[in-house]
Amino acid sequence: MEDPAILAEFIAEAREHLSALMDGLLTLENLPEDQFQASINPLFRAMHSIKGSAGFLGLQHLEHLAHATETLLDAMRKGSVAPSPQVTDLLLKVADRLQARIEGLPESEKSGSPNDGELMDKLKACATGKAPPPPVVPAAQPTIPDPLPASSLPQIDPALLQEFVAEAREHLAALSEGLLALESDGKSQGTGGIDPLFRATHSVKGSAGFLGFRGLERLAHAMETLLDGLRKGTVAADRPVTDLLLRVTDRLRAAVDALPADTPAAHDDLIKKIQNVIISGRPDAPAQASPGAGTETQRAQPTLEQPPPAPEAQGADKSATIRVPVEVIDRLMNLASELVLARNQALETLVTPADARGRQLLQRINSVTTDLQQAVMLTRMQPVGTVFNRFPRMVRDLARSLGKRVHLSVTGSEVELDKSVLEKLVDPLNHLVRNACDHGLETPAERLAAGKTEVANLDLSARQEGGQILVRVADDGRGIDPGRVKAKALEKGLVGPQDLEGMTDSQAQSLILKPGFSTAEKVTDISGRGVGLDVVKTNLESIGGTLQIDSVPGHGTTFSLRLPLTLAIIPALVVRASGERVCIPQRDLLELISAANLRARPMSGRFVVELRGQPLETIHLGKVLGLENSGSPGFNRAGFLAVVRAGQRVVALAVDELNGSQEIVVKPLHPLLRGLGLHGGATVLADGLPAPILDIEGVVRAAGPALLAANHSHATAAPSRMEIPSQSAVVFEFGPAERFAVPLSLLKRVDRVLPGQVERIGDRRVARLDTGNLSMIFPDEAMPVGSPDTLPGELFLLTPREGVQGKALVATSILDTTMIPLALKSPPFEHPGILGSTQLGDRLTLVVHPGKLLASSQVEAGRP
Amino acid sequence: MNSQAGQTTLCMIRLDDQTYGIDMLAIREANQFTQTVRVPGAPPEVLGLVNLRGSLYLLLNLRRMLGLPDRKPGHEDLLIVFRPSQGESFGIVVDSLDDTRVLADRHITPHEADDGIITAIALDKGMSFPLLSPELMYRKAKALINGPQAGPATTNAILLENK
Repeated sequence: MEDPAILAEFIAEAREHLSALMDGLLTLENLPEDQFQASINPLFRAMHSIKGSAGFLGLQHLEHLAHATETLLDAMRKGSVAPSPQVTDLLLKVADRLQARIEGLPESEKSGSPNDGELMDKLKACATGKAPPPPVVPAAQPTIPDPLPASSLPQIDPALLQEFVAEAREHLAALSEGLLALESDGKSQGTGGIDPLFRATHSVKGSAGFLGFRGLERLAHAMETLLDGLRKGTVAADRPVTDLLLRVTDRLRAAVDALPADTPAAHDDLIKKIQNVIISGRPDAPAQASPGAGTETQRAQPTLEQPPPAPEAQGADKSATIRVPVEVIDRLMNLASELVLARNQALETLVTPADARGRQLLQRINSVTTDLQQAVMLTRMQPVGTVFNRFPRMVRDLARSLGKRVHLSVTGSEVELDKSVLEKLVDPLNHLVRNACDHGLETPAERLAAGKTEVANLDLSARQEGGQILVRVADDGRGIDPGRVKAKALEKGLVGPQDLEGMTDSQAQSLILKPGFSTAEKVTDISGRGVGLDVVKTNLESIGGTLQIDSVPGHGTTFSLRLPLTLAIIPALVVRASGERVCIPQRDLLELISAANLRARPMSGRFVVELRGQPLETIHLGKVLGLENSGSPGFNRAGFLAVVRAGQRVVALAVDELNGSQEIVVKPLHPLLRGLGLHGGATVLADGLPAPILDIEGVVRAAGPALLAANHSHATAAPSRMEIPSQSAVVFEFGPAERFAVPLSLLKRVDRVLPGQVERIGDRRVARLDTGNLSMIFPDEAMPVGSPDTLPGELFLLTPREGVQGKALVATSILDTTMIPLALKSPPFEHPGILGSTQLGDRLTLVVHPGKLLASSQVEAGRP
Repeated sequence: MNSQAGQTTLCMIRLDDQTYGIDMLAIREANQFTQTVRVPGAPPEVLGLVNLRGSLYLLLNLRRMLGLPDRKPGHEDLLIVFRPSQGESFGIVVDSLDDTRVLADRHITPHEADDGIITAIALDKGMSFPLLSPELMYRKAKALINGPQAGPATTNAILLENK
């Protein structure tokens, strides 16, 4: 079959069947008798589907293998073969081979392989109850080598053959009679007439298959598909079609007569014609899906699915989903981001409408935009189960090859992550799981001797915690022995004796994360190379994640991975260096300090700055980025130092301005720019202008080799959350419900006002202060917040630094002056005067811009 | 080149007083110039990044590539973005887009590129003008970026592709 679209669809569906098959096989061994039947039937049907579709598409090698597997599964479900680890092993191996073949289509069909023949022999031996095959060690990726020599006919019991031939002849007789009746009665026959024909063909096909008569089976299957099309109405029963049906029936009878001689390709000519009919309605049309072909004959979808014998829902657990190309999702994301950008700009430039309806409209556009963006972000979310689901098989195989018994429990498969994070999770988890099986868990004998259960437990779990995903790999094995780890680290020269002094057990256990560490006695193939865990940790950290070890010697170890929910949006610090704006991802940022009071010594084109008594290498960011014309720009005392970590190095980047912390949408780096090694992506900031996102490691590398020896003060200190860039703010209240904060930088003064100082002029209240009169604006006049039932006697007035003159915002109480983050969260509602929100203690606090608030305020109702 | 057998449709672009032709089929769109942001660390042949309707495009400095005097682009200039087949989402800035001409292929003579971006010379109405190749522009930029003066070749790009 040449049509790539049909092949692609086959591959997609076969993948799903295989996946269901493999999952099912793993649980089969441990099932009690009564659940066995229910479990094996879907497996049989899945294989049956694959076989049928492969046959229909002429994928012979695939079909043969699938058929042999189906036979074994059939024997199992009939009870003539009992499930056992050996049988499951064999089936899993075959499933692997099928997968390899399917993934390798269409090339894989060009050659058979002796390995396939060997597998099929084993399958046959198993199915017919001969000695079960010897335990199969899971092989590496199956390859598809040289072509198979001409296949030999299976040995058939003559009595069995006789019976089959007799039965088949009866079926075929009924078939041709029925077809003739169909033709003479015309279209009005309905499905009632076709069902018996279908069943007859199905029987012939089934028996032919079981006995290994592939040619006959394939032809019967094609016939069956055509009949199915007829009864569904997707194929019209016109003259050419019934002619063909009759021809096929004749051929079937001839084939039965010729048994036991049968070759797989014997009837390809007729099968092709059937395929043509199904696609285009005519036996001789080219087998291409042509839209709108024919007038009366409907365009039929080639039915690749074998209709299951029972009408049970196939794969009843299929949730209501839809497949969408990735490009479409990306386009949605772009459009949503654009809309958010336009919304932001609109809020900044459009004057708040004078009427309530206009404001409401703006507010609505606002909130719908936010919701849209969030919903689109969700489309990128996938359940972590897609990564988890490979582990039951891996653990099973590993355990068997290591002679251990492991019970894997997986929880939280439904937790969703952005696909970018999911991709990064695979390698670390692979490594940790293998590690646990290889090193962490003991053999059954060791466990019994230690008073544990023979079967070891390995738990894989995922949970969402705040803005992060927490993934855990926990085992109840040996645990990590701090003493042994320390000795090994010393031996390998990874630490010196003085470093070990005063080290806690927990710190000692963390030594296993050092590069070059491994306590494996011999280097096993699986994970003993000693390069693993440090790579895991670095990879995790490169995406803003962390790895934590908790271990109790003798009892077990838990690895905790923390990851951000998405990589597509990251918090970043926007800075200006030599006139250009760039973004520094917050995950690389350790600290942010003003350059004002620092002493800086020039050294080799860079600086060394003293921070808390320690020397810190400082790089002029503009210079490293090639933005400076002069070779040695000076140290800008009015600027800032962004202390960043790049691998093992900790350096400070000297920048001129801070433009605030923002959550930015990461856009991929243009391929041409990759060669620069300075950027990790790009983004569009709120003003619509692009800004590059720095690749901190690349930037630091570009600055040259490290000036100073490893900076211990930063490096070994636990990388706690870096100092969050923050600002001072005044926290106040007005009504009973809300809490507010005003950044000090926006505030000119705060005054206390007593009732005697307040005068009423019309609807307004004016405060008489020494400095002048101030029109008192109440928060609920400016934004939709609550107000107190009665005003207290003492009030406070907050005067903005810039903007409207003669007005001030009223507060009923001033609570505190405190630090709030520079990066604010989105507020519960949008308003020009509201900058964002933040969490102070346990209270949601609205951060306001007093100038803008006052500018937008309207007096809607007089105050009593 | 393109379209009907034996013919090529060219867009005539102008830089200062020089006219060049570009295969129309290579062009995706032409836009009024929008503010670009420099790419720190990139050679001057890279003009910068520009945001067009939410998507980022890389702009190359055509003047530099042709050896013409450089000048800062402004609102009167035109931005031309090429189709993805020519190279991932990139464009150039020109002074103006004059007209479109259909030329018979026999009037177009291929030209040896040798590090330049001129792919052919065309003859029309007694005048000859060079034809520029976006693909050559892309290649030239790539060579300049990955060349000896560039930084390390690897990068820890956060997201290299949207896939």
